[in-house]
Amino acid sequence: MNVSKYMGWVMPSCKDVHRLVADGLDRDLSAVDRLRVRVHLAMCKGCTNFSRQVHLLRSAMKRFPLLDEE
Amino acid sequence: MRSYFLAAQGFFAAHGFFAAQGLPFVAHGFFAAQGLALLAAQGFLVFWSDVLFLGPHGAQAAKLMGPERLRARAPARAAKRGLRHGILKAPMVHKGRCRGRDSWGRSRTPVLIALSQHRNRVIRPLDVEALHFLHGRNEYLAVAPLVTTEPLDSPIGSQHASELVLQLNALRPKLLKFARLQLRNDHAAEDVVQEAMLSAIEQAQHFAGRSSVSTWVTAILKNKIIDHLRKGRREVSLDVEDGSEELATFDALFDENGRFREPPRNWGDDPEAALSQRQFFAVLEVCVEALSAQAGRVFMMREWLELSTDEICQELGISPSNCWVLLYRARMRLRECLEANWFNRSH
Repeated sequence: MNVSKYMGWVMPSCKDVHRLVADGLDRDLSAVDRLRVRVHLAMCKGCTNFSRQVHLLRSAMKRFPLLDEE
Repeated sequence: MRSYFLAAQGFFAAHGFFAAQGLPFVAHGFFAAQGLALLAAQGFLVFWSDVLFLGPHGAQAAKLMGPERLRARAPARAAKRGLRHGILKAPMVHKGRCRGRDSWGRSRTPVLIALSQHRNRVIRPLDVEALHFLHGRNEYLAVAPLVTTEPLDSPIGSQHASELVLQLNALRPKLLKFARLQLRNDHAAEDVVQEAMLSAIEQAQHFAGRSSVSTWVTAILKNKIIDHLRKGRREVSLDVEDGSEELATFDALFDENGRFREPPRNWGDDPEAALSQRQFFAVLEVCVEALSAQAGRVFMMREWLELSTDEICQELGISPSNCWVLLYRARMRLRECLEANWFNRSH
């Protein structure tokens, strides 16, 4: 019974999660992936910060000032 | 038109009557019937709190819309015809000028939509989305979203067309900068900006000063860029694609267990405060320019033009997974760039 294989599935690493978080901005993640990400983010401060930063980047681009208002 | 209003008034009264009697379902029925009656009015789109009807000279009003402010010339007649429920108030237009005041006395930004087959009717929607939903067509001369109740005589509204041209010329370098950032190709950027300026000058009379010049022109530019991409003119400068760029991976950020070697730090209590500072966007722009050509283009298409991944893949002829990888790399690099150049400098 290879537990580590299941552990990798249930407890994704920061590397997996950060990629999923970035991908979540561009495509719909499956429900399973979303759950894994959410669980991991609850436990991992670094990944939470990462997620916030990436979302901030998105809102920054949305508010990219079109042209300098003279 | 008067009969429609009378009918609506009748429904309102009945609604009130039944509601007072404690018969909620009937009251709702009348309310709905009233809504339907008004909606069914030919060519009329009715919104409960912000409607302005212009009368037979609406077409002329539409032509005058640019520099002129619409003013009511027959307020008395308007008051008679309007409903007095605090919900609808419909001043009439006379000789192409009309300004409404709603029942609370707030002045309204005039209407800028003219239905093509009902040229006499110019209606201001509560919001543009609702208008499109209800009407479902694109036969409009110009559209003004309900964003502000400021007066219409903003600088552009009272300018002559030639002044507009001068302003556009002044904005040209910045438009070029944006086009280059997006298209990564100087020739294509020049073409696109040229098209955008021509289109802006053509549409100058429809620009009624609802926003600033630069916002309006940039919107035109964005559409031109999207059109350009759709026409598949892929004279892209991919020949200078740096091979080493593609090999750079972000695996080095993680140790063998998959954890961050250096967990991302908090960007401060209120990173959104950065968004209100202009220098932040200058830094961001530099970071975006620093991306590789393809990654930068894909990122701009996704985040600035706000195309979906499918559309991007279609325009550029790449596979979805390729697209996602490019976006991922762009985001990672931008994140690093911002962290190094802004958030680590205790702004």
